[in-house]
Amino acid sequence: MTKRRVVVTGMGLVTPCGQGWQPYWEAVLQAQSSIRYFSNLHLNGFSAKIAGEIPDFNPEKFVKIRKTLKVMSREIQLAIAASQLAVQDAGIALESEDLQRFGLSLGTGIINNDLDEMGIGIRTAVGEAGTFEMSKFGQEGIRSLFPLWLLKYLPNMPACHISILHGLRGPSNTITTSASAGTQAVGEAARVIERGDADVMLAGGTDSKLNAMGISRFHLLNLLSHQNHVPESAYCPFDIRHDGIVLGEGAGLLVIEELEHARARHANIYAEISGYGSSSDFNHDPRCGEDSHGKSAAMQAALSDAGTGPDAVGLIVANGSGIPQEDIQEACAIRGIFEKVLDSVKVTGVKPITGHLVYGSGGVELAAAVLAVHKKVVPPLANLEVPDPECELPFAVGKAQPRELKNVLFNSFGFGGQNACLVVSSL
Amino acid sequence: MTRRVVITGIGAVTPLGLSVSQTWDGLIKGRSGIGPISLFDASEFSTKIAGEVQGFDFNGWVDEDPALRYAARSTFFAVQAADEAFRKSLLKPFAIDPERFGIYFGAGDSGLDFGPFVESVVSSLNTDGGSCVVDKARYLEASALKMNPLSELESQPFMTVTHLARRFYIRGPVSNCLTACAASSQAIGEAYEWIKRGDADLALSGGSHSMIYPLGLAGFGLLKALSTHNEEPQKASRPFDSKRDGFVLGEGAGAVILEDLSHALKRRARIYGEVVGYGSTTDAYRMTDMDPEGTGAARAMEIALAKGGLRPEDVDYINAHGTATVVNDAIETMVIKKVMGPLASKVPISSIKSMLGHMIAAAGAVEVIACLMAMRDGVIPPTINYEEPDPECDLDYVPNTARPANVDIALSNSFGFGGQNICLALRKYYE
Repeated sequence: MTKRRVVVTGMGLVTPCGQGWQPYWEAVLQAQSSIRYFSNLHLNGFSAKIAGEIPDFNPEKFVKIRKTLKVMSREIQLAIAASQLAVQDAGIALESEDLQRFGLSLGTGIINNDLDEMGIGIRTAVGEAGTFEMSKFGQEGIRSLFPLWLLKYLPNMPACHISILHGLRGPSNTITTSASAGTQAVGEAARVIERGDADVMLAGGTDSKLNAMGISRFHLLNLLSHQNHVPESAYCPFDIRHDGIVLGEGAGLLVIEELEHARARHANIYAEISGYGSSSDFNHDPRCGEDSHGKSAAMQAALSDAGTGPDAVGLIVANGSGIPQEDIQEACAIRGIFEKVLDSVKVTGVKPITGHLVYGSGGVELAAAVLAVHKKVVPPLANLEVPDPECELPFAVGKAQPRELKNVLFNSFGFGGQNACLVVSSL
Repeated sequence: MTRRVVITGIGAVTPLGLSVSQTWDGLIKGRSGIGPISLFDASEFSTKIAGEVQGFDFNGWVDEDPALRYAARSTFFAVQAADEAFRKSLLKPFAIDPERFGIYFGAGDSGLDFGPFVESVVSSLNTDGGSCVVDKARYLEASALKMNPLSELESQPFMTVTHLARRFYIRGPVSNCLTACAASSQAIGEAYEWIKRGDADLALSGGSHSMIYPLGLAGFGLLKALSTHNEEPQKASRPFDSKRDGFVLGEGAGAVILEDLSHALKRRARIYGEVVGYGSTTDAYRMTDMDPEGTGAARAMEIALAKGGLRPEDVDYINAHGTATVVNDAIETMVIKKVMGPLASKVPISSIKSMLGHMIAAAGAVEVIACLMAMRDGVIPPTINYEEPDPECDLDYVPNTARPANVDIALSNSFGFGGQNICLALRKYYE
């Protein structure tokens, strides 16, 4: 039996650059960052003031039954929108598909509580002494919460709502490995198709950390960039100035399908997902990772799964988180594997365009890798002026360069040391 | 040639004990692990009971492995369950190629560090009665002072896998899925697919979770999913009984070592059983309710059977999802009838959630382990608290006492919130 091949036939993106993959791709080609001063929260003396925000997202455009919006956190709304854009882009007629053979696989993590919503319950539980009382919370606090409150925040609810909206009844998965989750979701979805458990999958991720609890967590971990004075150039992976991440929000979902299935419906095929590999680091704290072997292992696994070597890779879309230690580790891992071909490969990264989308990053950035193959072009790494001497790599700088790309390697590394890599190939 | 996948190590931490043998002993004696909640003051909550893990030595683990100091409660459970599975597998950490060793877990998140969080919120409440209940700028300042960065990090649903990979030198494929109540069954199913495909020779799988914290209890309580039989905790979880009124939260972890059969044979490993089929489908119906037709759930069972090359008459035991909610148990009964046809009334079915409560993401893994133990000992654990039959649940639920039976083939069902249906087909291993 010949191996079932998996191709990308649709991409749905909702990012700070706009809706659909087109405005995102335009920004990637121009190396134009959407990071701005953050208008949503009043941050007073807080150290982080910039973000990649989606300023004009209107969920009602995508959710027809208004009352269901009440049970949808922003992450769910963004994912719903991305799923519709992806299905449209794929030109797939759901009514003529066997939806038991159509599944979904999403990267989503903890969805942060809306503090105002939670605050009502906590406020009600404040006793006469001015402190929180658990007994009062049990008696009155809980009753003041929205009855379906929990459902807004369960990680698998984005997948649930998408399955209901499109009627998808194939296998469903929700993967929670932080910044590598979206990429893993696509890789695992490709495996589901390859082994014959589905013919089509919606796969990718969604996230928004642009809320008080999300920002608070990243601030506590000291992972945020402090370059507030230059919003558009603050996020600069691999540059000597790199000092952490800038948060963004967004969702990216792809329609991936079995090659013959795509051909039979005369689908537009963007590229093939030809290899997938994942691995663990032995680090346990994103701030002090010493170990780059895990990252090499994932890249190697993806390349050998694709049956290709480093010499056949024209472009690497790096994880490039902008966390200095992580950038250095990634550069070291790339140099190790691509040692002999460093003059023929280019390295780029796309996180500066939108900010770090964390659980949403895999799906969105994969679209850039797919489009690089499809449009035969190497997009530049935004905001790179002077590379960190410890991150020396053949970076793509200046203008986007036309180039035939047989294979692109795409890296995603999670904060907990979970690594996922994909190889995207021209057909 | 298709690679066969066997289970060569098992470990558990549950409300009935801190190991597989303690848990299994409680299960076949029909003991309940449910009691009043002690982890926080739940006296004014509508549900005041849960299945808590008792007597766990958190400090002992921190002494041995200081990196666990701020780890979540459920991460500790996972580490101990995995440690037991390792010891049983007789694998030697440095004798394994770490890149051929994967981890696919279904670990849950652990909720907030509630005390500091609530303090941060209380100190930033708006008093002017405006539309914002909480002043976000003040919250950010307060949380920066009150909350511990590492506790926040450790509460994330990827950190359990991070610790397990570090501790057991696992460098190969990694993933963690969190598909609600189906998570750890799905993790085992997906890990099985990895090994079958050849992506790894060994994988640590299973799940861990504790939702026995104020917001977890509040959230499920608001959904009216929990039993409120507070007066008699041990009788509260009543799957398939006519007086069932919801599930009881449990907590803990289950871990299994999956291994390529030839790899296991080469090192003469003890084999607990074989995974032969995995079915995964989606209801696409509602957020919490199961599809009343049960189509998706039935298809998951049929796929698991078909992949294992099995027919309904081969099935010796079904470990039910059996949460004890009014609707779920009736639908699961109907689904089993659909799949098993006239054999439905003959096959023994039981829900160990009657004794352990619902361990959410960890439930499926512990249920798989119960199936393996049933195969080993030739005894099926009961559904306790089964007193009054419900006309909608009219099958053989192995009521109240364990039953001797030869179990060669078992099915384990897990149907999660969000419409995820997972079924695993397991087979006793014969040489």
